[in-house]
Amino acid sequence: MLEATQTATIDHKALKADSRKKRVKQFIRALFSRKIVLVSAVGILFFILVALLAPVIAPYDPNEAFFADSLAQPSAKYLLGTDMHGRDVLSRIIYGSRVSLVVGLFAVLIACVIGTFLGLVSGYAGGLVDDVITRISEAIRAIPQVVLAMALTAVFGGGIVNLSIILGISNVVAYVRMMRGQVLTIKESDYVMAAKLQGNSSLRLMLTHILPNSVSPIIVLMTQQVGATILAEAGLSFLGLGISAPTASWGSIVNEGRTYLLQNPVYALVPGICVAVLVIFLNTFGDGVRDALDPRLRGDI
Amino acid sequence: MQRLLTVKDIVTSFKMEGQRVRSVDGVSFHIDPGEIIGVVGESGSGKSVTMLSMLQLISSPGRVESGEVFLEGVEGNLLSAPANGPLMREVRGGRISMIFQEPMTSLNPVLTIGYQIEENILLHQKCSKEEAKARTIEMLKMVNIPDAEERYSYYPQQFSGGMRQRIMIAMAMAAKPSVLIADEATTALDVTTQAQLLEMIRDVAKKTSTAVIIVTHNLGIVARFAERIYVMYAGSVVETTDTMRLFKKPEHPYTRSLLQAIPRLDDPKDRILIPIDGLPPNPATRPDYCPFYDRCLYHMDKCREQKKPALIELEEGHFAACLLTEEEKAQKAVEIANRDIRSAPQKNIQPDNCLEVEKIRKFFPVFQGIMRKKIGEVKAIEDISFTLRRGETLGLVGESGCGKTTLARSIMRVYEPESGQVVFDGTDITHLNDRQLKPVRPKISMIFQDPYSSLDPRQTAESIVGESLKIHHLVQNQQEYEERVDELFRLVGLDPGLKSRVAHEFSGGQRQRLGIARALSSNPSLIICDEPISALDVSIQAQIINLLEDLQAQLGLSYLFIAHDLAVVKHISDRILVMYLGRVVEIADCLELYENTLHPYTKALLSAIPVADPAVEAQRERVVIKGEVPSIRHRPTGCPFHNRCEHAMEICKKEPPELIHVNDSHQVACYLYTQR
Repeated sequence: MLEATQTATIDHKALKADSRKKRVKQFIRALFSRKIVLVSAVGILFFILVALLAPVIAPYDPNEAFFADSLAQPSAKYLLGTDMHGRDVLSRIIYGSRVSLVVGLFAVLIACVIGTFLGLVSGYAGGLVDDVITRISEAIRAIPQVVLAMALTAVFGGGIVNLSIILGISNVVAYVRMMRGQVLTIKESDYVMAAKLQGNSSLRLMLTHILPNSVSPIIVLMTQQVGATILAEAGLSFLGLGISAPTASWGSIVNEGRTYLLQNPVYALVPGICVAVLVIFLNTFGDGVRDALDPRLRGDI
Repeated sequence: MQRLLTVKDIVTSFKMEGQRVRSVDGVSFHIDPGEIIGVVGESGSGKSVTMLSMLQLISSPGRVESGEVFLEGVEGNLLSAPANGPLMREVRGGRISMIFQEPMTSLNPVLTIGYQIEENILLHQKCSKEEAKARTIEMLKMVNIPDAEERYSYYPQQFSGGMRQRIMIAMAMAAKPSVLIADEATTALDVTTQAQLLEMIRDVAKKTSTAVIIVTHNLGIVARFAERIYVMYAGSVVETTDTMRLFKKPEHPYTRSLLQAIPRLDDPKDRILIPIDGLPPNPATRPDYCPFYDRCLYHMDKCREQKKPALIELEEGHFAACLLTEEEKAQKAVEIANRDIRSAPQKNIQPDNCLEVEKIRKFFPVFQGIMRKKIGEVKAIEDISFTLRRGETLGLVGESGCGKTTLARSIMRVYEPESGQVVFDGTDITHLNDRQLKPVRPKISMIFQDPYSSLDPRQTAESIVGESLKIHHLVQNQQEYEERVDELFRLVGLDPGLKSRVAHEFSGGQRQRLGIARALSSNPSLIICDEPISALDVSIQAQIINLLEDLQAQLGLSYLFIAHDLAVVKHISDRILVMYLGRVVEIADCLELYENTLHPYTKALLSAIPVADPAVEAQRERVVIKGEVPSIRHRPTGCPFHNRCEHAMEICKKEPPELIHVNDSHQVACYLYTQR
């Protein structure tokens, strides 16, 4: 008898796991049912692989200077030419992808997590909490982002980790505002009222009902911010506040190459194109994720 | 004789997922000058699309495939004229006008109403600006807008919903059209306003001999106002005849079933609604044979074997699209009558009170300025007292804005009442805080009006239904949880196999069943039903009403049933409470209220509801109510109804009347009955 109940429980658990697996499968199928999303996913994967395998695929050491060949045109020897110190541009771009990807993704993730949380609390709680959070974020918004980041770097110092945190924090406000707006509308909907009347605690209400229903625009915002962050990193590095000199990043290569646009246009253009392509891929992928997550857009199954 | 407007075999299709789907499949109708016809059908039956096709207003991905439209005074087929050519532009608004459902969005908010009406006149009539203005004011007067000259330069948001719909009518009638199409024009309005407006449309139409097409899902409206009726189902007309005959001797099985499925105001109390099973067919997967076959009680094998039946003239002027002969139908009808019909569920009303509400008030503060200074308050509900016995259904009736929802939310303790007492199961819950309320929450549930917005779109049906089981620890383990969820699904007539779907994969009726299952999950003793069926299709409503009644008998639930549809309320309730502007005006036993109506407002309200039977309609006495429901912020002092009441006395303007007992089961708040 006891055994029978136990097997039944296990069966139920297995069933549960099965249905979860099915949902994940369904999500993945919905996500990749659009060709363009699949293409962007492959593209993003490619960038990540390049960053991971940089030492293997880069033809030269990114910081090794061949002074004799400075500012060389693209050739079989240097596929994308060399910079003013005679360093191989291709190798620098490949290594630069590490810094750019880490800073871009990490900073956006930080901004998103903090911003979404604050926006959620602010929109849900309302009253004094909302007033305090909104006023502070308005104050932060009044300071230009670069100036804020500069001030923070001056205090905390540079380096990849610090830079990511700083760029993240200076971006938080956008998420707070967007999330707060979303929460304010969703809070009023009937299903939230229904969930409340079921006896849900505020925390559960926020996490299981309000948050999943308000993430769509956040996902889109996130993917858009990656590009902006990669470029902001370049700006800070240019001012000497970001990554220190010899380390390559896409932003810094664009910055250096800008001066030599006539001598070697490839030098500045290719890293720029890399940023643009990555942003496009991320955007499309973000759109795909948003649509696949939303059961209403997934269509009848 | 040449007809004013003849429409022949319109076919309109929409492109859906790569294939063309016919949403209107060969509809024909005609109308004569001054005639009022009704087009009835459920949502998705193609009523509106037919009207839009006629005016060539279908835009991509839709397309009018074929058909002919002939309008008196216009050469040839209107459908062959270019869609945006001068002829069609002249016809739209000039010869055929249309009023839409939503008065709140159909007027342009940045232009004055005078300008918008005048624009229509200048486009279609050759006249000067002054003449157009004079005509505009004349039109505003015709639709009974007070102070028309002054209101000419008002903006739409300065008017109430009913007033805006009057303005829409003025605009539609301004260019002296020959045909006026009212597409669900009064659906969004309150019943008393709806009655006023339709009476007005009828008067105006008769005066100017304009033909009117009333498009609606409400059989009561067409019974009262239309002279001839077209019943539509799944993109085709299934039956058409004059109003009297249609209600007296409906021929098509769909019409027959529909009339059996809707509750009527003049029903005996124990009438059983016979719902139409199933759902209307999805146009994409509609079969070749009769589209009603799957839901038809009369169906025979031959219906499936033949193509969709065409309209056949049964007697003069009475057409129905059914393959069965008279004898076959009569034989089937006997068969159906002999089947065991569901008996009315046995109610079990206990003598003790489940809920006692004593003089509760809820005021909302009004703030102004950046410092949010309180400048006043809106008295949403005032001095409401009533009791609800265990196992009983109390109907709560009133027009929009009268405080029904505020009352419900005060009982659910979403709001904390300013004063008064809410006693539930012997516990005073008026001022409990969230933590203290937690044990009470599962005992009071709510069913929401809109099944589309009340279910979390990101959650599976299972977690929607099972949520409170987990929150209140009503189950011991996973297995018990699964079993209870399955049981709840079966209780409301859903297949437990569907529980891993998300809300939008269900139809409207199924979603409402999910909402009911959620309400039942915590074993409540009281369920507050906030207009639970008003968002559903007519043929689905009966299913839900029956389900609610069965559940009540089975589980001994008490219902507080909020609705504006008095026919439904009468069908389901034991006692009825009528509210007006935040106050109770009358509480009585169901039959007592209908047979011995006391309060003038209740009388007007009952009289405004059309009954789906023209013979009864013709004999009913009308109590006309003047004006519109005032905004709750400008509630008249004294009796809130005194400025619209024909019996108003001096005292009514000073003091609001107390609720007094007329007899054991009847309370009323009116000075007409205090002197006795």
